[in-house]
Formats: sequence, C-alpha cells, structure tokens
Amino acid sequence: MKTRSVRFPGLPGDLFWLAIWLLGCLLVLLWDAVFLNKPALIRVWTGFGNTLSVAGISLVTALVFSFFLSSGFILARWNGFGKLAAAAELLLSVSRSVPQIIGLLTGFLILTVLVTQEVLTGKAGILTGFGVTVGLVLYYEFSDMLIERARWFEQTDFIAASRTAGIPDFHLLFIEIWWRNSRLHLINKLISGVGSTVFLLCSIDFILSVGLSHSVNAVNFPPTLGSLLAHIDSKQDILAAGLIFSDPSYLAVLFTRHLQGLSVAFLIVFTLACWFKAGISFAERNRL
Amino acid sequence: MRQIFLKHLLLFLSVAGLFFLLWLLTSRLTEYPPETRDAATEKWLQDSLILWQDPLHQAIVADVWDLAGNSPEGDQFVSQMARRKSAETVGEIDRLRRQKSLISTDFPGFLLQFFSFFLLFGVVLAISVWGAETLGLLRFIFKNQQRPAGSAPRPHPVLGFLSLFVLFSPGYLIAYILKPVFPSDSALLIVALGIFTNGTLAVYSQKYLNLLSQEFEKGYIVAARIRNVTDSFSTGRNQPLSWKEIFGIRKQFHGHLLRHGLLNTRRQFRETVRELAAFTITSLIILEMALNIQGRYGYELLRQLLYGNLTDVFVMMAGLFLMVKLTDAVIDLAAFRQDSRYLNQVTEPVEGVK
Amino acid sequence: MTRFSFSVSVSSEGRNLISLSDFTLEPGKITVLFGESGIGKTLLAKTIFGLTDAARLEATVNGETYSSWQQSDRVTSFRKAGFFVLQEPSSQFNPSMTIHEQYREADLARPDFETSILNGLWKSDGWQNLAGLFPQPFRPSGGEKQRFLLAMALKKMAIQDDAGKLSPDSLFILDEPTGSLDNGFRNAFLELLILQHQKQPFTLLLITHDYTLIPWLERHPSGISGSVSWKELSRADSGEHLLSRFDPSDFISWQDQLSPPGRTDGQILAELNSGVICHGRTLTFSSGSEPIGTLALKAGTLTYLKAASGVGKTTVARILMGLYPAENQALTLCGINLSSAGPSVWKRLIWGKKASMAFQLADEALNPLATVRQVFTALHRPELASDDQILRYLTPVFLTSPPKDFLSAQVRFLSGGQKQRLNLMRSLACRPEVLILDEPLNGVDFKTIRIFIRLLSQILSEGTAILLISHNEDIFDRLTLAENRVNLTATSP
Repeated sequence: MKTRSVRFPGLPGDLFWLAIWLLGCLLVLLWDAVFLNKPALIRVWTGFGNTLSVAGISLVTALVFSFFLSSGFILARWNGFGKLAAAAELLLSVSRSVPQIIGLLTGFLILTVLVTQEVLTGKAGILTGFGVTVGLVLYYEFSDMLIERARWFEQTDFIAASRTAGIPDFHLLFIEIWWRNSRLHLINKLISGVGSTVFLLCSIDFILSVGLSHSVNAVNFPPTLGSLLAHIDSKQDILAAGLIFSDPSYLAVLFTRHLQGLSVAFLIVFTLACWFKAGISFAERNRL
Repeated sequence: MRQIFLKHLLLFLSVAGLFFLLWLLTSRLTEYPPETRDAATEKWLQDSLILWQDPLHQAIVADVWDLAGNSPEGDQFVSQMARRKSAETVGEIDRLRRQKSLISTDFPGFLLQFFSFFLLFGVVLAISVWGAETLGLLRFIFKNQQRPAGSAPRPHPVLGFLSLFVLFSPGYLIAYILKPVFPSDSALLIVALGIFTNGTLAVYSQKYLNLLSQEFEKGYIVAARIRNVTDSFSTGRNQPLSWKEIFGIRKQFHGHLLRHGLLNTRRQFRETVRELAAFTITSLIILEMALNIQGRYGYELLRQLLYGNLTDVFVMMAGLFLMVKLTDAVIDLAAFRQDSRYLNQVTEPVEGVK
Repeated sequence: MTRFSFSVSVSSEGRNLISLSDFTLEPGKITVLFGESGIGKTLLAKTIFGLTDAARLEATVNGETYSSWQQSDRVTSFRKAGFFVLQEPSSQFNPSMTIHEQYREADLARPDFETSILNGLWKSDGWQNLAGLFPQPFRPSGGEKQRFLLAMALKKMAIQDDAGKLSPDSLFILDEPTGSLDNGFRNAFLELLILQHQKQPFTLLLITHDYTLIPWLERHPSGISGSVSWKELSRADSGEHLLSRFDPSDFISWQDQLSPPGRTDGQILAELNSGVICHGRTLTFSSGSEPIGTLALKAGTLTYLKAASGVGKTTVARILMGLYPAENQALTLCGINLSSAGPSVWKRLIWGKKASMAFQLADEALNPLATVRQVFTALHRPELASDDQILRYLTPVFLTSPPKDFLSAQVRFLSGGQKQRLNLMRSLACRPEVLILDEPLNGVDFKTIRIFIRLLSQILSEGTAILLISHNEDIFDRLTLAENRVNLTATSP
C-alpha cells in the first residue's frame, strides 16, 4: 500500500515515524549518558519529560474543553437555541482570531501572577498550569474539527434521516458522528497537536527564560526544553554549532563538547519533524 | 460588504474589551496591599544603616526590639520590616520601569515600530503564501510525474535530513546557529526565518498539497480528462508545464488539467491563509522576542511585559490583533468579490451565446 | 475476442469489487446494463475506459496490469473517439469555471452543433440563460446540468461524425444519463440519441436503473429495439458477479398488471396548506388542473407528489417533517398543530413516533461505518433489541431471513439495494401513522422493485398514510388513482 513506509513495507508510515522518534530519542539518551555530565543529563531529560507532560496535559485540556463547547454549540443549533449557539460561536470566533502568541503571553502573564501570589505552587501544579494555558490556546483547533465533522454530516441527509427515524440527538452526535465517523480525525488532530504544543511551549518558555517577569523565571519554574535552550550553556553550545561554517574541523568535537544545547535543540526539532511526518502518514493511511 | 466590516469591528471590540478586563484584573492582582504605618515603625524603616535583608542586622534589630519590651516579638517585627522594605524596593523599581512606557514617552516611536512590524508581517505573509503554493504545487507535479507508482522522488538522505531540520527548527535556533556568520537583527534574516523555519513552509505547503490532491479526486477532474484536457505533468520549456508558470505568482495553466484543480484549491486555501496570517504573527513575535532585537515591536512587547507596563502590553496586543483582523477583513473582501462571481451574482457575457 | 470484449477484475485491499471474465459489447449496438447500485457497473465501465485510479485500486483488464491498460492503444482510441458521461451531474462540473467554458474545452472546442443539440435537449432555447453560469449546487438544477453533460456527449458524436470518424469502433458510455430528468426531457434526449445512432451507428453502453426505458425503447417507432441488447449485472450468494441477459418482457408484463392498492376514504392524518413559502418560493398544490387548498394525506392512501426535477418535492417532504422552516404555514400531523412547533416538539411527539421519512439516498441516510445491527439498535426500541428480533424484522424485504453474520456487516460494504432496504425498514421501525418515501426505487434492481411494491401494499393495508415522491411515473401513475396525484408548482417573487 502506498501509505506504508518505503523502507519497511509492512509498517504503516505513521508508526514508522513514531518508531524513528523513539529510536532517535533513545540514541540521544545513550549518547548523553556517555558524554554529558550527570547534572546536565538529568536537566535535559527532566526538561524533555516535563515538555512531554505539558504537551499531554494541554492536549487533554484542549480535548475536554472543545468537547463541551462543540457539543453545546451543535446541540443548541439542532434544537433551536439560537442565542446559546451564537454565544458559543462568538467565543470560538474570538479564540480563532487571537494569534496564539497573544493568547499564550496573556495566559503566561496570568500564570506568572498566580505563581507570584503563591496561588499556584509546586512542580506538578505549575506544569499543569502550563498545560492548561497551552490547551486553552489550542482548544479551538479541536472544536473546529469536531464542529466541521458534524457540519459535514449536516450537508448530507444523515442527520435529518436519523432524527426523523427517532435516533436520540446524544446518540447521533456522540456515537454515530464523533465516535464511529470522527475518531480517526481526532487521533490525527492529537498527533498534529503534539507538534503544536511542543513548538508553542518551547517558544514561550524560551521567551519566558529570557525574562518575562522579575519574580518568576527559569529558576523557579520547572525546566522544559524551551527554558533549557535559553540557558546560557545551551546558547553557547548552539553558537558553537555555527563555528563549523568557519572551521569545519570543529564538527569532530561538536557532539561531545557542546552536548547540552545540541541535545535540547535536537530533541525539539526531531520531535516536531517526526510527529509532523507521523500525522501526514496517518492522514494518508486513513484517507482523512 | 458592510456586514464584513461590522463583523470584524464587533470581534475587534469584543477582544479589545477582553484585554481591558484582563488589564483590570491583572493590575488588581499585582497591586501590593497597603499596610498601616505608624511613626515609630516608619523611623526604623527610614534608618539607612540597617540592611533589612542581612541576617546579622536582622538578629541585632530583633534583640534590641525585644529588650525594649515592644510587641509583637522581635522576629515577627523584623520579618514584617524586611517584607515592607522589599516591597518598597520593588515598588520603586516598578515606578522606574513604568516611566519606560513606550506609548506614554515616545508615541511616534511606538507607531513606527508598529508599522514596521506590519510591513514585515505583510512581506513574510505574502512570500509564505507564494512559497506554500509553489512548494505544494511542485510536490504535486513531481508526484504526478511518477504516476502510476505515485511516489515523489526522494532527496538525498543528508539533504532531506538537513532540510527537515531547517524547516522544523524554531527560527531562533537557526538564528543562533547562524550568529557567527549572520547578524541576528538583520531584517532579511528575520524574513527568511519567518518563511522557512518554525514549520511554516513545511506545514502550509503540505496543506496546499493536501487540498490540491483532494481536488484532483473530484468528479470534475475525471470529466475534464474525458474531454481530453491536457493532463501531462512534464515540466520545462516547450512542455505542458513551464517553470515560469510554476514559479509565477498567478499560476494560470490555461488548457491544462491543473487549471481546474488550482482554481478550486486557491479558493479553499483562502481559509488556510487566515490561519497562516495568525501563525506568521506568532512566529515573528517569537523571533523578535527570543533574539532580543531591540527597537522592534516584539522585543518592545516583551520589555513592557518585563516592566509590568500592562497598559502598553495590552495596547500592543490589541495592535497585533488588529493586524489579524485587517488580514481577515482583506481575505473576506477578496472572498466576497470572488464568491459573488462564482455564485453568479455578477454575470459576464458569454461569447457566442445571446 | 473483439475490440469490445473485456475480462475485468478490480479489488481494493484484498476485497473483490468487480470480477467478470467476459464482458462483451456488440459493436455498433446499444447495450443497456441494469443492476442495483453498488454492484460495480460504474467501476466496470470506468475501468474499461481507463478512468479508474490505479494508485488506489488493484485492477487488471484482459490480463494486463492497469497502468499498461491505461496506456494501451485501445484506451487511447476509446478516449479519442468516444465519450463517457459520468453519473451525478453536479459533481462533474468545475464550480470555478462557467458551464460554457467547460462545454467548449479541449475535444469539444468547436462551436458548431451546439445550438441544435441544446435546443433539442431543452425543447427551447432556455439553455442560453444558463450557459454563462458558474455551476452551483442548486443552479443550474441537477436536471439542467445533466442535459449539459448529455449535450457534450452528443456534441462529441456530431464532431466525430462530421470528421467521418464516428463508427462502430467508437465507444460511448452513458452512466445513469436520465437519473435527474423527468420523462419529457428523458425522451427528448433519447430521440436525439436514436437519431444520431441511426445516422451513423456507434457502440453505446448505457448504464441505468430506469427500467421504464424498456417499454419506451421496445415500442419506439424507429425500430431501435433491434439494436438494443438488455443485460443485468448481479451478485450470486457466493459473492461472484453474474452478467445475464435481461428479458424485457418480464418488466413489461409486470408493469402492465400494476393497479392502485389501498383505500381512498381514510381519515386525514396530515395536512399542509397550499401557498406555503420556503427558501423564498411559494409552493402550491393542484390535482389535475384544479388548484387544491391543502395537501392532505389519508390513512391507508398512497399520495403521489409530482413535479419536474428541482421544483421542490423534497422541500415539501421536509416541511411536512419539520426539517425546513416555512412561512405562511398551516401544518397538522396526526391531529397535532405543528405550524410553529420547534425541534423539541417534533422530537417529543413526531419523529420516530407518529411519522418518519425514508430519504432518497440510502448512502447518506445510513451511517456507512455502522453495522446492520447498529442501524437498528440505535433506535433504542425494545422490539428490535436482539439479533433474532432484527433478523425477523428484516425478513419481508430480504424474502428469507438473512444470515446472522449479515448483522455484523458494515453498511458501507452492502450493495445499494441492501442499503435501500435497510433505509426503508429503519423508517418503518416505529410503525408510523404517516410515512414519506422520497425516491424509494432509487438505485434498486427489478427484484427489489417488486419487493418494495409488495411491501407498499402491506403498509397501506395497515392504515399508514404515505406520501410518495418518485420520478418513476410509469410505475407509480399505475399505483395511484388520479385524485391522489398531486402536482406541485413553485413560484418565486
């Protein structure tokens, strides 16, 4: 089949890219274990774990929030509650038209205040706060997808035929449309969501570490790949990578001497690329 | 058309109102609660010889306080004083920082930054749209040249890895790598990074390719093939698909099957351009903030955030939102004009028909 | 082996979609191919014509791989000298190019022959107002788009004929060419086709579900019936495809013995006033030439709603089922005044309780990813909760009880006829007092038509009021009394 990996014909392309991602991360871990000092090793891999945890939390937040909003919007529309549907649509429309960076900055501003006021404490609490903030910035993408799926069926006779036959609205929306006909779309959205959350989180953490607030900074926020990249050691490592343009022989020592920054950078980019590729392959395989 | 403007104006006002509410909320939260002061404690506080954060000074003051038989206890008094002194210092810093508000001190400078960011955004968006269309189209043509096997030619693995690395890297990462050879505050670099990195080109060219591929599965393409519309995907001079047309801005392809698909893909891609505009702003702000490029809008936004000048911050955010809304309005107007034509609200005379 | 002998096999992911070892068309003759929808007729024709997507399906023709078949001289000559009119006219036009631009594209660039063909198909010059339009879902209507597509095929025949290249070696394929046409326009097209065929014979494959073509062609004064061969594609219980000769006299004799079932004195169960306004159009009813104040559906009576394609028959059905809001509306159903009822009232009192509707396209009405069992369990009816109950319920439309594993089959893998039967049975599950049937014979074969007509009599005998919408006038005119045939007209301000 076309959507299978060319190199491993038995393996679907999406699983191939996820396997590549896992394998690549494992190789970097092994390399780091051999060449990177222990405190830096712990920092990098804790940061990686934190980043993935935040990505997970943000996807769950986005999913839950969008589920309630979308189902409220669709059921309100089907049942003639125009004002409720219009309110939900306005909320979605506003969310859609605010650039993600504005949403994130606003969210992190509030998060900073909450941490300053000690409303939000502890590593788990702060990471959850990160995740929820990113999730609330991304949720509309999931809502759009869920609503789009329902709209697609609205354009056909499916909904009218099912309702007139006596199928309850909840069953129709949750089971027939979203569960039976949209779960692959949802999985695909989740796969692409991993890339979006990692990119946004790393970027905002990088900026935050440059200095969003005088009372909250990388020291009292749990490390993520973004904040680690902004760390002076990592910056120097990345700058060192640029030296190979003027001194190509420097390549020989680059991957042993400047490992913290390069590992962090590699993990970010590799994660983004592999999950993007996996998303495309998944969509192709399932003809989404 | 009036409805389009009204819709965007309403949305803009809603979001501006939201920012205002957030500003009110955050200014309340960041205010330090006033404490009652009496003359005695005020005297202690004014004493410039006492270093309230120094543990030795704290111990001495606490002992003296207790010896004098004051209440509350010395340790509690010292910690109150230390907290108050710290709050005063922070408050002082905040006051100084607020003096650095760009909008109140240099409004023309703020406008200049805003418009130069707007220009940068316009240039990056325009080139990104063209780039996504062109790269998506090229990949589609390569894929069709391989028909019926259907797989596009693969680049050399090292080249493929490098291009993946660049396309998916956050822009600031590439800027740091290039720093030894390229100054990171160059506008040219920002434009290039805005287009090529952060996944912009990769994601949006893929979206274009998906839309074009979906169009080519529709019935009207088969119907056009039946009429024997040219469907050869050979490229080059004197071939059905010329490079000039592929890399051109308008990409017409008269008499070729691609024209059928492109006309509809372009209409569908409009919605993606909206998304791309918002992402371009995000991408550029991240670049300017992360690279600390002084005198630019993104950096200034970060600086005002750092100083806690929430008025500036929310005005600047509203400025970014205004850009998104303007782009939306332009896209909506273009869509309105195009749709009026395609929905037969504007009819054109047809040659040979009464 | 002749130029038109084919051995075709198409499969997808190991699933056999069509497999015929000998499919032969008689050169210079018209082959009419029947068979229920989804059986593989269109796929067979597209595969022969080189239009199947080789990247997605595994296909072979005459032992050749599909990519080599697509590049073969035979396919090249089919495409050069012939034409293929695909079904579903709405999806065959590019919405971003005018009809005229597409009508004069590539092989059809020559402007001559246009006017006479289009005038013939429209029976007037009404097409001139439509040629400059960008095709949109409702304008031009499905029937008008269909006529433009047929005009393209007729134009290609004329161009080839003019160049002296039209011959029995030229292959033309028309897939459901009359599906969106009422009988008047259908016959106008067939007249033009017969004229061209008699002037210069060519090979024609005509795929259709319209069995009423049989008496029309068999009795045509030109004697064209001598050039027509009737075939039917079906599937054996083993899943194997069978191509057999269809005996036209079977249909003619069956049709001749049809008579109106049910009664005419039943109580009125549904009423909708004439002059109701929906989507900016005023809908009025008449019986014969006399206007009538209401469309009344009586218990045990079949009411046949008639109008040209695109006038708004389905709109009336949707208004009656509370799916379209309408102005100036006076609607009662089973004694309940629903003139201004919202969706919650319809859900609580009507839908799936007192009234239901079998929609035209079973493919859209049913969830393709649900199993047969889930189609019925979704209704949450206690009498359709177990497998045995569902199988027993389905027996009348399958003649025998279907095998148990049929219940686990996903709807998307069923044939068109099976889907249409499920669609009808789902709408009957609530034993409605009022039933609306929108094109119930759409896409079904002769066997299923007979089952449906029998079932219709049974439902009527139970006292159900039925509103029927169908373009199969030759069948349903015989099944209704003149007083129960209601004509619909629509006027726009």
